[in-house]
Amino acid sequence: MTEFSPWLAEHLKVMSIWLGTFCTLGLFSILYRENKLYRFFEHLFLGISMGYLMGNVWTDTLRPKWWIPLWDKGEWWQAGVLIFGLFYYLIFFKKVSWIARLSIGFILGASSGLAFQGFVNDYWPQIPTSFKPLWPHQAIYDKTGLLVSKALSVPDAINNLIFMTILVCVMSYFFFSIEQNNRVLKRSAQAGRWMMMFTFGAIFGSTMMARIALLIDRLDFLVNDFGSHIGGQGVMFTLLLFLCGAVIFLAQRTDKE
Amino acid sequence: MFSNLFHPLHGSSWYIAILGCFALAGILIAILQSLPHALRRPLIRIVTFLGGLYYAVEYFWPTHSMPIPGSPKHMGNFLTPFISPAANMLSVIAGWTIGLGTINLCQIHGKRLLHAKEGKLNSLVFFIAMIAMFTLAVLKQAHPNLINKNLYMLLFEGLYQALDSTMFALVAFFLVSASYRAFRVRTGEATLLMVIAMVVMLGQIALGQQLTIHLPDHGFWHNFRVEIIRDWILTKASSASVRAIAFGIGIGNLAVALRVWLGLERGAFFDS
Repeated sequence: MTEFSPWLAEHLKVMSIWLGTFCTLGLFSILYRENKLYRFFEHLFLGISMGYLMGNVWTDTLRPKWWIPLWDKGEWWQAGVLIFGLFYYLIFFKKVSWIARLSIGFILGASSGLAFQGFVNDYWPQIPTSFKPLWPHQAIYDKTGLLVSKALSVPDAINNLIFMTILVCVMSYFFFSIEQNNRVLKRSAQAGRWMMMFTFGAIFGSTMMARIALLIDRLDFLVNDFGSHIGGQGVMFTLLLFLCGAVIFLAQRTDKE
Repeated sequence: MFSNLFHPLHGSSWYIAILGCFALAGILIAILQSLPHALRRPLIRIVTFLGGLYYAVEYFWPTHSMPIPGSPKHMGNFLTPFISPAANMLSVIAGWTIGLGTINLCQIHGKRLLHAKEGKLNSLVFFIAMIAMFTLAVLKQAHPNLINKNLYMLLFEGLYQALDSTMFALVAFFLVSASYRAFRVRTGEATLLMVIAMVVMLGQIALGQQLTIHLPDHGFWHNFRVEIIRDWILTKASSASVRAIAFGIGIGNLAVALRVWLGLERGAFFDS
Protein backbone atom coordinates (compact mmCIF):
# COMPACT_ATOMS: atom_id res chain seq x y z
CA MET A 1 0.00 0.00 0.00
CA THR A 2 2.87 2.35 0.85
CA GLU A 3 4.36 1.77 -2.64
CA PHE A 4 1.01 2.02 -4.37
CA SER A 5 0.22 5.47 -3.02
CA PRO A 6 3.15 7.38 -4.62
CA TRP A 7 2.77 5.34 -7.82
CA LEU A 8 -0.89 6.32 -8.02
CA ALA A 9 -0.10 9.97 -7.32
CA GLU A 10 2.51 9.92 -10.08
CA HIS A 11 0.30 8.24 -12.69
CA LEU A 12 -3.07 9.78 -11.67
CA LYS A 13 -3.15 12.35 -14.46
CA VAL A 14 -2.23 9.85 -17.20
CA MET A 15 -4.72 7.27 -15.94
CA SER A 16 -7.50 9.89 -15.75
CA ILE A 17 -6.81 10.91 -19.35
CA TRP A 18 -6.83 7.32 -20.65
CA LEU A 19 -10.01 6.46 -18.71
CA GLY A 20 -11.65 9.71 -19.84
CA THR A 21 -10.78 8.93 -23.47
CA PHE A 22 -12.30 5.45 -23.32
CA CYS A 23 -15.44 6.84 -21.70
CA THR A 24 -15.76 9.68 -24.23
CA LEU A 25 -15.28 7.45 -27.26
CA GLY A 26 -17.51 4.73 -25.74
CA LEU A 27 -20.41 7.14 -25.31
CA PHE A 28 -19.85 8.79 -28.68
CA SER A 29 -20.20 5.35 -30.29
CA ILE A 30 -24.00 5.85 -30.04
CA LEU A 31 -23.64 8.29 -32.95
CA TYR A 32 -23.16 5.28 -35.21
CA ARG A 33 -25.99 3.23 -33.74
CA GLU A 34 -27.16 1.47 -30.55
CA ASN A 35 -24.34 -0.88 -29.51
CA LYS A 36 -22.99 -2.91 -26.58
CA LEU A 37 -20.07 -0.60 -25.93
CA TYR A 38 -22.41 2.36 -25.45
CA ARG A 39 -24.65 0.31 -23.13
CA PHE A 40 -21.61 -0.62 -21.04
CA PHE A 41 -20.52 2.99 -20.57
CA GLU A 42 -24.11 4.10 -20.00
CA HIS A 43 -24.38 1.68 -17.06
CA LEU A 44 -20.97 2.76 -15.83
CA PHE A 45 -22.22 6.37 -15.88
CA LEU A 46 -25.39 5.39 -14.04
CA GLY A 47 -23.41 3.58 -11.32
CA ILE A 48 -20.81 6.33 -10.94
CA SER A 49 -23.48 9.06 -10.81
CA MET A 50 -25.53 7.14 -8.26
CA GLY A 51 -22.47 6.53 -6.08
CA TYR A 52 -21.49 10.19 -6.39
CA LEU A 53 -24.99 11.35 -5.43
CA MET A 54 -25.14 8.98 -2.46
CA GLY A 55 -21.70 10.12 -1.36
CA ASN A 56 -22.75 13.76 -1.64
CA VAL A 57 -25.93 13.21 0.38
CA TRP A 58 -23.90 11.50 3.11
CA THR A 59 -20.97 13.92 3.22
CA ASP A 60 -22.94 17.17 2.75
CA THR A 61 -26.23 16.46 4.52
CA LEU A 62 -26.53 13.33 6.62
CA ARG A 63 -23.08 13.29 8.20
CA PRO A 64 -22.85 16.95 9.32
CA LYS A 65 -26.54 17.46 10.14
CA TRP A 66 -27.50 14.08 11.55
CA TRP A 67 -24.63 11.65 12.23
CA ILE A 68 -22.25 14.05 13.99
CA PRO A 69 -24.97 15.58 16.27
CA LEU A 70 -26.31 12.09 17.07
CA TRP A 71 -23.06 10.16 17.52
CA ASP A 72 -20.47 12.76 18.53
CA LYS A 73 -22.58 15.38 20.33
CA GLY A 74 -24.98 12.94 21.98
CA GLU A 75 -28.16 14.55 20.59
CA TRP A 76 -30.22 11.39 21.05
CA TRP A 77 -33.40 12.97 19.70
CA GLN A 78 -31.84 12.89 16.23
CA ALA A 79 -32.83 9.20 16.30
CA GLY A 80 -36.41 10.44 15.88
CA VAL A 81 -35.43 12.08 12.61
CA LEU A 82 -33.91 8.78 11.50
CA ILE A 83 -37.08 6.90 12.42
CA PHE A 84 -39.26 9.41 10.60
CA GLY A 85 -36.94 9.11 7.58
CA LEU A 86 -37.06 5.31 7.79
CA PHE A 87 -40.86 5.49 7.50
CA TYR A 88 -40.25 6.08 3.78
CA TYR A 89 -38.95 2.53 3.49
CA LEU A 90 -42.19 1.05 4.80
CA ILE A 91 -43.40 1.59 1.23
CA PHE A 92 -41.66 -1.71 0.39
CA PHE A 93 -43.87 -3.61 2.90
CA LYS A 94 -47.40 -3.91 1.59
CA LYS A 95 -49.15 -4.18 4.97
CA VAL A 96 -47.70 -0.99 6.42
CA SER A 97 -46.92 0.87 3.18
CA TRP A 98 -49.48 3.60 3.94
CA ILE A 99 -47.34 4.81 6.88
CA ALA A 100 -44.72 5.94 4.35
CA ARG A 101 -47.25 8.57 3.27
CA LEU A 102 -46.88 10.27 6.63
CA SER A 103 -43.24 11.07 5.87
CA ILE A 104 -44.02 11.96 2.26
CA GLY A 105 -46.96 14.13 3.38
CA PHE A 106 -44.83 15.91 5.98
CA ILE A 107 -42.19 16.78 3.38
CA LEU A 108 -44.89 17.86 0.90
CA GLY A 109 -46.50 20.06 3.56
CA ALA A 110 -43.19 21.61 4.55
CA SER A 111 -42.37 22.25 0.88
CA SER A 112 -45.75 23.95 0.53
CA GLY A 113 -45.03 26.14 3.56
CA LEU A 114 -41.65 27.03 2.08
CA ALA A 115 -43.34 27.80 -1.25
CA PHE A 116 -45.31 30.67 0.39
CA GLN A 117 -42.10 32.20 1.65
CA GLY A 118 -40.38 31.49 -1.65
CA PHE A 119 -43.13 33.21 -3.64
CA VAL A 120 -43.07 36.31 -1.49
CA ASN A 121 -39.26 36.52 -1.39
CA ASP A 122 -38.68 35.69 -5.07
CA TYR A 123 -41.58 37.27 -6.95
CA TRP A 124 -42.85 40.22 -4.92
CA PRO A 125 -39.63 42.27 -5.33
CA GLN A 126 -39.89 41.70 -9.09
CA ILE A 127 -43.31 43.37 -9.31
CA PRO A 128 -42.21 46.95 -8.49
CA THR A 129 -39.01 46.56 -10.53
CA SER A 130 -41.14 45.65 -13.55
CA PHE A 131 -42.59 49.17 -13.59
CA LYS A 132 -39.82 51.03 -15.36
CA PRO A 133 -39.64 54.76 -16.15
CA LEU A 134 -40.69 55.55 -19.72
CA TRP A 135 -39.84 59.24 -20.01
CA PRO A 136 -36.19 60.28 -20.64
CA HIS A 137 -34.85 62.58 -17.91
CA GLN A 138 -31.69 63.90 -16.27
CA ALA A 139 -30.42 62.48 -12.98
CA ILE A 140 -32.66 63.59 -10.07
CA TYR A 141 -31.18 64.61 -6.69
CA ASP A 142 -32.95 65.54 -3.46
CA LYS A 143 -32.24 68.70 -1.43
CA THR A 144 -29.31 67.09 0.37
CA GLY A 145 -27.70 66.16 -2.96
CA LEU A 146 -28.52 62.46 -2.67
CA LEU A 147 -29.24 60.65 -5.95
CA VAL A 148 -32.95 59.81 -6.17
CA SER A 149 -33.16 58.58 -9.76
CA LYS A 150 -30.45 57.86 -12.34
CA ALA A 151 -30.53 59.65 -15.70
CA LEU A 152 -32.60 57.89 -18.37
CA SER A 153 -31.50 58.18 -22.01
CA VAL A 154 -33.84 57.90 -25.00
CA PRO A 155 -32.61 54.39 -26.00
CA ASP A 156 -33.07 53.21 -22.39
CA ALA A 157 -36.60 54.65 -22.34
CA ILE A 158 -37.39 52.78 -25.60
CA ASN A 159 -35.96 49.57 -24.09
CA ASN A 160 -38.12 50.08 -20.99
CA LEU A 161 -41.21 50.58 -23.18
CA ILE A 162 -40.41 47.37 -25.10
CA PHE A 163 -39.85 45.53 -21.79
CA MET A 164 -43.20 46.62 -20.34
CA THR A 165 -45.11 45.96 -23.57
CA ILE A 166 -43.71 42.42 -23.80
CA LEU A 167 -44.38 41.79 -20.10
CA VAL A 168 -48.03 42.87 -20.35
CA CYS A 169 -48.64 41.00 -23.63
CA VAL A 170 -47.12 37.71 -22.40
CA MET A 171 -48.99 37.95 -19.09
CA SER A 172 -52.25 38.57 -20.96
CA TYR A 173 -51.62 35.35 -22.91
CA PHE A 174 -51.76 33.45 -19.59
CA PHE A 175 -54.89 35.28 -18.44
CA PHE A 176 -57.42 32.45 -18.37
CA SER A 177 -59.80 33.80 -15.71
CA ILE A 178 -62.19 35.09 -18.40
CA GLU A 179 -62.74 34.05 -21.99
CA GLN A 180 -60.51 36.11 -24.28
CA ASN A 181 -63.34 37.58 -26.38
CA ASN A 182 -62.37 41.18 -25.83
CA ARG A 183 -60.59 42.53 -28.94
CA VAL A 184 -57.80 44.25 -27.03
CA LEU A 185 -57.13 41.22 -24.85
CA LYS A 186 -57.22 38.91 -27.84
CA ARG A 187 -54.71 40.98 -29.80
CA SER A 188 -52.52 41.41 -26.77
CA ALA A 189 -52.51 37.64 -26.13
CA GLN A 190 -51.68 37.02 -29.80
CA ALA A 191 -48.75 39.42 -29.59
CA GLY A 192 -47.75 37.68 -26.36
CA ARG A 193 -47.55 34.38 -28.22
CA TRP A 194 -45.24 35.88 -30.84
CA MET A 195 -43.07 37.36 -28.12
CA MET A 196 -42.84 34.02 -26.39
CA MET A 197 -41.72 32.39 -29.63
CA PHE A 198 -39.08 35.12 -29.80
CA THR A 199 -37.93 34.20 -26.28
CA PHE A 200 -38.04 30.46 -26.94
CA GLY A 201 -35.84 31.06 -29.96
CA ALA A 202 -33.34 32.89 -27.76
CA ILE A 203 -33.45 30.13 -25.13
CA PHE A 204 -33.08 27.46 -27.81
CA GLY A 205 -30.08 29.25 -29.31
CA SER A 206 -28.40 29.61 -25.91
CA THR A 207 -29.05 25.96 -24.99
CA MET A 208 -27.71 24.80 -28.33
CA MET A 209 -24.53 26.83 -27.87
CA ALA A 210 -24.06 25.49 -24.34
CA ARG A 211 -24.24 21.91 -25.62
CA ILE A 212 -21.89 22.68 -28.49
CA ALA A 213 -19.46 24.22 -26.00
CA LEU A 214 -19.48 20.89 -24.12
CA LEU A 215 -18.90 19.02 -27.38
CA ILE A 216 -15.96 21.29 -28.23
CA ASP A 217 -14.59 20.67 -24.72
CA ARG A 218 -14.69 16.90 -25.26
CA LEU A 219 -13.05 17.19 -28.68
CA ASP A 220 -10.44 19.51 -27.17
CA PHE A 221 -9.80 16.88 -24.48
CA LEU A 222 -9.39 14.14 -27.07
CA VAL A 223 -7.16 16.13 -29.41
CA ASN A 224 -5.01 18.06 -26.93
CA ASP A 225 -4.97 16.10 -23.65
CA PHE A 226 -5.11 12.57 -25.02
CA GLY A 227 -3.36 13.47 -28.29
CA SER A 228 -0.21 14.50 -26.44
CA HIS A 229 0.03 10.95 -25.02
CA ILE A 230 -0.13 9.15 -28.36
CA GLY A 231 2.28 11.07 -30.49
CA GLY A 232 0.78 14.54 -30.82
CA GLN A 233 -2.41 16.40 -31.56
CA GLY A 234 -2.07 15.78 -35.30
CA VAL A 235 -2.18 12.01 -34.79
CA MET A 236 -5.32 12.21 -32.65
CA PHE A 237 -6.96 14.64 -35.04
CA THR A 238 -6.29 12.26 -37.96
CA LEU A 239 -7.58 9.35 -35.87
CA LEU A 240 -10.80 11.25 -35.08
CA LEU A 241 -11.29 12.12 -38.76
CA PHE A 242 -10.76 8.46 -39.61
CA LEU A 243 -13.32 7.44 -36.96
CA CYS A 244 -15.86 9.96 -38.27
CA GLY A 245 -15.30 8.69 -41.82
CA ALA A 246 -15.73 5.08 -40.67
CA VAL A 247 -18.97 5.95 -38.83
CA ILE A 248 -20.38 7.73 -41.92
CA PHE A 249 -19.33 4.86 -44.20
CA LEU A 250 -20.83 2.20 -41.91
CA ALA A 251 -24.04 4.21 -41.43
CA GLN A 252 -24.47 4.56 -45.19
CA ARG A 253 -23.82 0.83 -45.73
CA THR A 254 -26.40 -0.01 -43.04
CA ASP A 255 -28.92 2.32 -44.73
CA LYS A 256 -28.42 0.55 -48.10
CA GLU A 257 -28.90 -2.88 -46.48
CA MET B 1 -39.62 20.90 30.61
CA PHE B 2 -38.40 20.63 27.01
CA SER B 3 -35.00 22.08 27.87
CA ASN B 4 -34.63 19.35 30.51
CA LEU B 5 -35.66 16.63 28.11
CA PHE B 6 -33.62 17.68 25.09
CA HIS B 7 -30.11 17.76 26.45
CA PRO B 8 -27.27 15.68 25.03
CA LEU B 9 -26.56 12.31 26.63
CA HIS B 10 -23.40 10.22 26.63
CA GLY B 11 -22.46 6.66 27.51
CA SER B 12 -25.08 4.12 28.52
CA SER B 13 -27.88 6.73 28.91
CA TRP B 14 -27.39 7.62 25.23
CA TYR B 15 -27.88 3.97 24.21
CA ILE B 16 -30.96 3.70 26.44
CA ALA B 17 -32.44 6.86 24.88
CA ILE B 18 -31.84 5.54 21.35
CA LEU B 19 -33.37 2.16 22.24
CA GLY B 20 -36.29 4.02 23.80
CA CYS B 21 -36.80 5.98 20.57
CA PHE B 22 -36.91 2.76 18.55
CA ALA B 23 -39.27 1.13 21.06
CA LEU B 24 -41.55 4.17 20.81
CA ALA B 25 -41.39 3.97 17.03
CA GLY B 26 -42.43 0.31 17.20
CA ILE B 27 -45.37 1.20 19.46
CA LEU B 28 -46.29 4.10 17.15
CA ILE B 29 -46.30 1.82 14.09
CA ALA B 30 -48.47 -0.69 15.97
CA ILE B 31 -50.94 2.06 16.96
CA LEU B 32 -50.98 3.47 13.41
CA GLN B 33 -51.54 0.01 11.99
CA SER B 34 -54.48 -0.55 14.31
CA LEU B 35 -56.20 2.64 13.07
CA PRO B 36 -59.33 2.05 11.00
CA HIS B 37 -58.91 2.67 7.26
CA ALA B 38 -61.31 5.63 7.39
CA LEU B 39 -58.98 7.49 9.75
CA ARG B 40 -55.78 6.98 7.76
CA ARG B 41 -56.45 9.53 5.04
CA PRO B 42 -57.38 12.34 7.48
CA LEU B 43 -54.25 11.53 9.49
CA ILE B 44 -52.06 11.89 6.38
CA ARG B 45 -53.75 15.23 5.67
CA ILE B 46 -53.18 16.42 9.25
CA VAL B 47 -49.48 15.49 9.08
CA THR B 48 -49.20 17.28 5.70
CA PHE B 49 -50.87 20.36 7.20
CA LEU B 50 -48.59 20.28 10.26
CA GLY B 51 -45.55 19.97 7.99
CA GLY B 52 -46.35 23.30 6.35
CA LEU B 53 -47.84 25.02 9.40
CA TYR B 54 -44.52 26.06 10.93
CA TYR B 55 -43.26 27.93 7.85
CA ALA B 56 -46.66 29.52 7.18
CA VAL B 57 -47.11 30.74 10.78
CA GLU B 58 -43.49 31.85 11.02
CA TYR B 59 -43.98 33.99 7.94
CA PHE B 60 -47.39 35.50 8.75
CA TRP B 61 -46.88 36.04 12.51
CA PRO B 62 -46.09 39.71 13.31
CA THR B 63 -42.38 40.36 13.67
CA HIS B 64 -40.39 42.55 16.03
CA SER B 65 -36.77 43.59 16.29
CA MET B 66 -34.61 40.54 16.97
CA PRO B 67 -30.93 41.49 16.60
CA ILE B 68 -28.54 38.65 15.83
CA PRO B 69 -24.73 38.73 15.56
CA GLY B 70 -23.84 40.36 12.25
CA SER B 71 -27.36 41.68 11.61
CA PRO B 72 -28.50 44.23 14.24
CA LYS B 73 -31.64 45.17 12.23
CA HIS B 74 -32.85 41.56 11.98
CA MET B 75 -36.60 41.12 12.41
CA GLY B 76 -38.34 38.00 13.63
CA ASN B 77 -40.90 36.42 15.92
CA PHE B 78 -40.89 33.64 18.52
CA LEU B 79 -40.66 31.00 15.76
CA THR B 80 -37.76 32.56 13.85
CA PRO B 81 -34.93 31.02 15.97
CA PHE B 82 -36.14 27.55 14.98
CA ILE B 83 -35.78 28.14 11.23
CA SER B 84 -32.26 26.72 11.06
CA PRO B 85 -32.97 23.54 13.12
CA ALA B 86 -36.19 23.00 11.12
CA ALA B 87 -34.33 23.37 7.81
CA ASN B 88 -31.67 20.90 9.05
CA MET B 89 -34.32 18.41 10.11
CA LEU B 90 -36.12 18.70 6.76
CA SER B 91 -32.94 18.27 4.75
CA VAL B 92 -32.09 15.14 6.80
CA ILE B 93 -35.58 13.66 6.32
CA ALA B 94 -35.42 14.50 2.59
CA GLY B 95 -31.88 13.08 2.47
CA TRP B 96 -33.13 9.64 3.44
CA THR B 97 -35.12 9.47 0.17
CA ILE B 98 -31.86 8.77 -1.66
CA GLY B 99 -32.22 5.20 -0.43
CA LEU B 100 -35.56 4.78 -2.23
CA GLY B 101 -33.99 5.46 -5.62
CA THR B 102 -30.99 3.32 -4.78
CA ILE B 103 -33.13 0.37 -3.69
CA ASN B 104 -35.21 0.67 -6.85
CA LEU B 105 -32.14 0.60 -9.09
CA CYS B 106 -30.62 -2.25 -7.07
CA GLN B 107 -33.85 -4.27 -7.43
CA ILE B 108 -33.83 -3.88 -11.23
CA HIS B 109 -30.14 -4.64 -11.70
CA GLY B 110 -30.04 -7.27 -8.94
CA LYS B 111 -32.82 -9.25 -10.64
CA ARG B 112 -31.01 -9.03 -13.95
CA LEU B 113 -27.81 -10.25 -12.34
CA LEU B 114 -29.37 -13.06 -10.27
CA HIS B 115 -31.46 -14.44 -13.13
CA ALA B 116 -28.50 -14.06 -15.53
CA LYS B 117 -30.62 -12.07 -17.97
CA GLU B 118 -29.32 -10.17 -21.00
CA GLY B 119 -27.13 -7.25 -19.95
CA LYS B 120 -26.00 -8.87 -16.69
CA LEU B 121 -22.45 -7.64 -17.27
CA ASN B 122 -23.76 -4.09 -17.50
CA SER B 123 -25.65 -4.55 -14.23
CA LEU B 124 -22.49 -5.85 -12.59
CA VAL B 125 -20.63 -2.77 -13.84
CA PHE B 126 -23.39 -0.60 -12.38
CA PHE B 127 -23.00 -2.20 -8.92
CA ILE B 128 -19.20 -2.05 -8.95
CA ALA B 129 -19.17 1.59 -10.08
CA MET B 130 -21.80 2.66 -7.55
CA ILE B 131 -20.19 0.90 -4.58
CA ALA B 132 -16.67 2.06 -5.51
CA MET B 133 -17.69 5.71 -5.95
CA PHE B 134 -19.78 5.81 -2.78
CA THR B 135 -17.11 4.06 -0.67
CA LEU B 136 -14.37 6.39 -1.88
CA ALA B 137 -16.55 9.51 -1.43
CA VAL B 138 -17.15 8.50 2.21
CA LEU B 139 -13.55 7.40 2.83
CA LYS B 140 -12.16 10.61 1.32
CA GLN B 141 -13.94 12.57 4.04
CA ALA B 142 -13.57 10.11 6.93
CA HIS B 143 -9.87 9.25 6.27
CA PRO B 144 -8.51 11.95 3.97
CA ASN B 145 -5.17 10.27 3.24
CA LEU B 146 -3.36 10.48 -0.10
CA ILE B 147 -4.53 7.13 -1.43
CA ASN B 148 -8.21 7.73 -0.71
CA LYS B 149 -8.06 11.22 -2.21
CA ASN B 150 -6.23 10.04 -5.33
CA LEU B 151 -8.49 7.05 -5.91
CA TYR B 152 -11.51 9.32 -5.57
CA MET B 153 -9.97 11.83 -7.99
CA LEU B 154 -9.29 9.01 -10.45
CA LEU B 155 -12.95 8.02 -10.44
CA PHE B 156 -14.17 11.62 -10.39
CA GLU B 157 -11.93 13.07 -13.10
CA GLY B 158 -11.34 9.92 -15.14
CA LEU B 159 -14.88 8.58 -15.15
CA TYR B 160 -17.53 10.89 -13.71
CA GLN B 161 -16.46 14.16 -15.32
CA ALA B 162 -15.71 12.56 -18.69
CA LEU B 163 -18.96 10.57 -18.78
CA ASP B 164 -21.06 13.48 -17.54
CA SER B 165 -19.81 16.07 -20.02
CA THR B 166 -19.85 13.56 -22.91
CA MET B 167 -23.44 12.59 -22.12
CA PHE B 168 -24.49 16.25 -22.20
CA ALA B 169 -22.37 16.91 -25.31
CA LEU B 170 -24.29 14.10 -27.02
CA VAL B 171 -27.45 16.13 -26.49
CA ALA B 172 -26.12 18.63 -29.07
CA PHE B 173 -26.51 16.00 -31.82
CA PHE B 174 -29.98 15.01 -30.68
CA LEU B 175 -31.00 18.67 -30.36
CA VAL B 176 -30.00 19.32 -33.96
CA SER B 177 -31.86 16.30 -35.27
CA ALA B 178 -34.95 16.93 -33.09
CA SER B 179 -35.10 20.63 -33.89
CA TYR B 180 -34.82 19.86 -37.62
CA ARG B 181 -37.99 17.77 -37.33
CA ALA B 182 -39.86 19.92 -34.82
CA PHE B 183 -39.12 23.45 -35.96
CA ARG B 184 -39.55 23.13 -39.68
CA VAL B 185 -40.29 26.62 -40.92
CA ARG B 186 -43.99 26.20 -41.65
CA THR B 187 -45.55 29.13 -39.79
CA GLY B 188 -44.57 32.69 -39.05
CA GLU B 189 -44.03 31.87 -35.37
CA ALA B 190 -41.71 28.95 -36.19
CA THR B 191 -39.79 31.23 -38.56
CA LEU B 192 -39.39 33.85 -35.84
CA LEU B 193 -38.12 31.18 -33.43
CA MET B 194 -35.55 29.91 -35.92
CA VAL B 195 -34.36 33.40 -36.90
CA ILE B 196 -33.86 34.46 -33.28
CA ALA B 197 -32.09 31.17 -32.48
CA MET B 198 -29.78 31.73 -35.45
CA VAL B 199 -28.99 35.31 -34.39
CA VAL B 200 -28.23 34.20 -30.81
CA MET B 201 -25.98 31.40 -32.04
CA LEU B 202 -24.21 33.59 -34.60
CA GLY B 203 -23.69 36.31 -32.02
CA GLN B 204 -21.85 33.88 -29.78
CA ILE B 205 -19.27 32.57 -32.27
CA ALA B 206 -16.36 34.34 -33.92
CA LEU B 207 -17.52 33.35 -37.40
CA GLY B 208 -20.90 34.99 -36.85
CA GLN B 209 -19.32 38.11 -35.42
CA GLN B 210 -17.16 38.40 -38.55
CA LEU B 211 -20.32 38.90 -40.62
CA THR B 212 -20.92 42.37 -39.15
CA ILE B 213 -17.33 43.29 -38.25
CA HIS B 214 -17.31 46.08 -40.88
CA LEU B 215 -20.00 48.01 -38.97
CA PRO B 216 -18.57 50.93 -36.91
CA ASP B 217 -17.51 50.54 -33.25
CA HIS B 218 -19.65 53.50 -32.16
CA GLY B 219 -22.82 55.27 -33.20
CA PHE B 220 -26.18 54.14 -34.51
CA TRP B 221 -24.99 51.37 -36.86
CA HIS B 222 -22.97 49.78 -34.05
CA ASN B 223 -26.30 48.51 -32.67
CA PHE B 224 -26.70 46.29 -35.73
CA ARG B 225 -23.63 44.20 -34.97
CA VAL B 226 -24.73 40.61 -34.47
CA GLU B 227 -23.18 40.31 -30.98
CA ILE B 228 -24.94 43.52 -29.88
CA ILE B 229 -28.27 42.25 -31.23
CA ARG B 230 -27.68 38.96 -29.41
CA ASP B 231 -26.99 40.78 -26.14
CA TRP B 232 -30.09 42.92 -26.59
CA ILE B 233 -32.22 39.83 -27.27
CA LEU B 234 -30.92 37.99 -24.20
CA THR B 235 -30.80 40.86 -21.70
CA LYS B 236 -33.65 43.13 -22.75
CA ALA B 237 -36.29 41.62 -25.06
CA SER B 238 -36.45 38.01 -23.83
CA SER B 239 -35.99 38.91 -20.14
CA ALA B 240 -39.47 40.50 -20.14
CA SER B 241 -41.06 37.30 -21.50
CA VAL B 242 -39.08 35.18 -19.06
CA ARG B 243 -40.27 37.34 -16.19
CA ALA B 244 -43.91 37.13 -17.33
CA ILE B 245 -43.64 33.33 -17.63
CA ALA B 246 -41.95 33.20 -14.20
CA PHE B 247 -44.87 35.15 -12.68
CA GLY B 248 -47.26 32.57 -14.14
CA ILE B 249 -45.16 29.70 -12.82
CA GLY B 250 -44.92 31.35 -9.39
CA ILE B 251 -48.67 31.84 -9.09
CA GLY B 252 -49.30 28.28 -10.28
CA ASN B 253 -46.74 26.97 -7.79
CA LEU B 254 -48.39 28.93 -4.99
CA ALA B 255 -51.84 27.57 -5.90
CA VAL B 256 -50.55 23.98 -5.97
CA ALA B 257 -48.72 24.49 -2.67
CA LEU B 258 -51.91 25.79 -1.06
CA ARG B 259 -53.92 22.85 -2.39
CA VAL B 260 -51.36 20.34 -1.12
CA TRP B 261 -51.06 22.00 2.27
CA LEU B 262 -54.81 22.13 2.84
CA GLY B 263 -55.30 18.58 1.54
CA LEU B 264 -57.46 19.72 -1.38
CA GLU B 265 -55.24 18.11 -3.97
CA ARG B 266 -56.56 14.99 -5.69
CA GLY B 267 -54.53 12.17 -7.21
CA ALA B 268 -52.72 8.93 -6.41
CA PHE B 269 -51.09 10.21 -3.23
CA PHE B 270 -54.14 11.72 -1.51
CA ASP B 271 -56.99 9.57 -2.79
CA SER B 272 -56.03 5.90 -2.74
